[in-house]
Amino acid sequence: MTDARHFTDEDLTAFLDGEADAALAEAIETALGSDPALNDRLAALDVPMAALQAGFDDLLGAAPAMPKAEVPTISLAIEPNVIALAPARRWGGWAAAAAVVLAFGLGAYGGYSVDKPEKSLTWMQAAASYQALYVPTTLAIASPDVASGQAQLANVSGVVGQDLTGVQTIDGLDFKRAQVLGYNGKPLIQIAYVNGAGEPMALCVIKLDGPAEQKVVTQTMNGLAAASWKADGYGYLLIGGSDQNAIGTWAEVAKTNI
Amino acid sequence: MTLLSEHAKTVRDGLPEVYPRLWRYCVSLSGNRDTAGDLAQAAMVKAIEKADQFQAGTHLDRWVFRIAQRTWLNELRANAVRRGGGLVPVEDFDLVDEKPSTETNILAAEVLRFVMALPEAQRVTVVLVYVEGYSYKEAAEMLDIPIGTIMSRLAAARKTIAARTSDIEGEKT
Repeated sequence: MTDARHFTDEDLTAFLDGEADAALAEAIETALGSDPALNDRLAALDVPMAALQAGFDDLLGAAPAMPKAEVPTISLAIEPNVIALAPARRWGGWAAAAAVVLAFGLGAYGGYSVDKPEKSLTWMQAAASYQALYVPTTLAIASPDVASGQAQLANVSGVVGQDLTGVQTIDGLDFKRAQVLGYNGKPLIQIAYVNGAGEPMALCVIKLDGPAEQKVVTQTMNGLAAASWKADGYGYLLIGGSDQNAIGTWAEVAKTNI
Repeated sequence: MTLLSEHAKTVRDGLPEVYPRLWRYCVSLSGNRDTAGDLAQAAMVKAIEKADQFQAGTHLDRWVFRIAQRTWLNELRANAVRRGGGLVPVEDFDLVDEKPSTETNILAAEVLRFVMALPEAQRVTVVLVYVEGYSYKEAAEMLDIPIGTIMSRLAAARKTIAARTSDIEGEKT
């Protein structure tokens, strides 16, 4: 062959994919008419595209159900004053200025519904449902250094009106981040940790209506170990993992440090 | 209704439709069904939590796919490698649902296995372009790589798949 143009595999691939520009496509088509070797090269790049797509379509049918997401409509209507309360943008990638809507309260049975919002969820049930969405992957992030962790905690403390800077260090828990969620138009603070077993944990804090005191009570919520208490008009929920003994201990430490 | 809640609503309303494809994309990233489940769920939670960053009028699927990809690359991939999963070519990747063994189904299952056995970079690119139907340009933007890299990955993937397909067809004759 004396025609000089050499087509790379990338050229031929683009041609097969309909991504070659007009000049390249025309050059390849012309060359194909007189170059058996080029035909062979093209054949060596030819894949059964319909079968490939059919295989992946079948895979789509094997996808697990999305975790059930009940979205109380009321919690979407975050009041402007809550957003105004939120801290300045100091947390890097997280959109700290906007309270994240606590949009998920999920049940244990799969499926998805926005038609029947469960407005009767208590803040603890909503927080527990949301925590149940967390998998180790969710918090597979580097732990912040002490200074940036303190900055995060100072921010959320300002939002909720309670000093939470003392809970960065709890023996047995690795602090990951603190962020503002919203529940029924009120800020709900979520302080995330990972325990020694690698399980995601969260300390959730909300301002209650009126004064309230309650000692630490442990229970199981959404299949997760949980410990809750009330102090100085605030409600606290530490939740995650399955160790009922440890969760009570950690809760007492957190209660003391706040 | 605030701007935030509009974004949150868009993300919330769109996620159920995107979720199966998100999971499938996570399978192509991780090469492993179990890891894909965790990855898809983590990406979903992140999408909810970052909903205010979603630009109305853009494509939710691409946005969520990018979240999944970043989560995989930045946070999960190293762990998966340590556990010996994820990056190991998946030779035994099977469909859950056994269908009647028609020629067409057998070939589809074989080609799926060939794709899953590709190196991760090629596998993900094949899924974005040949399965999801994104253009070279769109796939390049989603993976944050040059179009030339998309082309070279696809060319390499095509060669491998074509050769393996040719082998099984040769065995039949």
